[in-house]
Amino acid sequence: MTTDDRKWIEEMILQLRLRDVRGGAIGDAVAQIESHCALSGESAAEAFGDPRDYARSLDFPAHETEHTDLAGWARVLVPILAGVAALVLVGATAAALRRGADVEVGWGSLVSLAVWIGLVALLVRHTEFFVHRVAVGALAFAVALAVLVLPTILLPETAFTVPAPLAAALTLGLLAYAMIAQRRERHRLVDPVTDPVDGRDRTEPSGRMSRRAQDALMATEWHLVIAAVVIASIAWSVG
Amino acid sequence: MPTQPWPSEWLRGLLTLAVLRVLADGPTYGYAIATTLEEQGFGAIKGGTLYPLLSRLEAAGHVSTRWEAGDGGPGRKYFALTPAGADEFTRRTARWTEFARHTTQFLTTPDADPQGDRR
Repeated sequence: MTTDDRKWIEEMILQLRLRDVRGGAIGDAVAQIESHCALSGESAAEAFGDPRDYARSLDFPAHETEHTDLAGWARVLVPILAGVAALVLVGATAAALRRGADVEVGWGSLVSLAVWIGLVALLVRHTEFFVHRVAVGALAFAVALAVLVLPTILLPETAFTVPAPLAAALTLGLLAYAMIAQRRERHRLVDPVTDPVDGRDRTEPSGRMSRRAQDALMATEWHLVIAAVVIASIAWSVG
Repeated sequence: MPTQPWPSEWLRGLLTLAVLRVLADGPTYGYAIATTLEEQGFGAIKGGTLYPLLSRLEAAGHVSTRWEAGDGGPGRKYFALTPAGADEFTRRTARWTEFARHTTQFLTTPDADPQGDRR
């Protein structure tokens, strides 16, 4: 397999992932490409054409694809939402605790949270669009950041106040829930591309990618805690 | 050797039946199917055409598959007709035979407009 063939296969894997094809079935498709190319002496592009078109043309039995229903999306997104809400709350709560005052929740924060939910829904619904258009994705990310920050500047009025100890308990609860739920989901989300003959991880020759993916997911949970501690520390020292 | 190359639009319509015919002789793998079809005058069938077709047959339950380790190289995925696939092959062959006979008769009969109502 040449470097071009590897790139071709990576592109096909990405497209099959976007179609929610299970790792085992993707491994089957990868092994089939390698087998055919080895026997025919052709490159993957010569034999199979465009990797995205090829991935779209394959048919899979129902059990080889994952059908994420509303409950499935909720299991993934609600913990993330809880984590973001905790990060929004933690700064204001730390500052309020330091001052011995109530936590003021602004309209801007509430609007930002609503916008954030909308953006995540948009990203989930149009993942393929953003994955294949990196420039558009980067621009969308910049616009999204501005849209998230703007409401807090434009709408500084307080919507309601929460006693600081209650806000602290709520923040810790949200953080703990986000961590536990994300950890529980991690095992379900890792679906390595496996070889159909010997079952080894085919994402990389030694199977490092799968472990790296797991490490990355594990790190996400801890990033949340680290971010919360950093934000709380800054808010405490400033406020 | 049959006359070739056949027009590609004819081959597109017949390819599934031709693949079922190759598998009717026994289980085999993708590249061997492509080679047999080429030997039988169907031209060079690209992997990009053959494997999606095989995936549709597999998803429809017309073929079953198993992997076998290769001799020092990549493994090979063997395709075998299921009983449903064998029925499908018989049914399609009967239909194709009828269609070919009908088409041949239509194309070679001097007066193909027996009603005489041509305007």
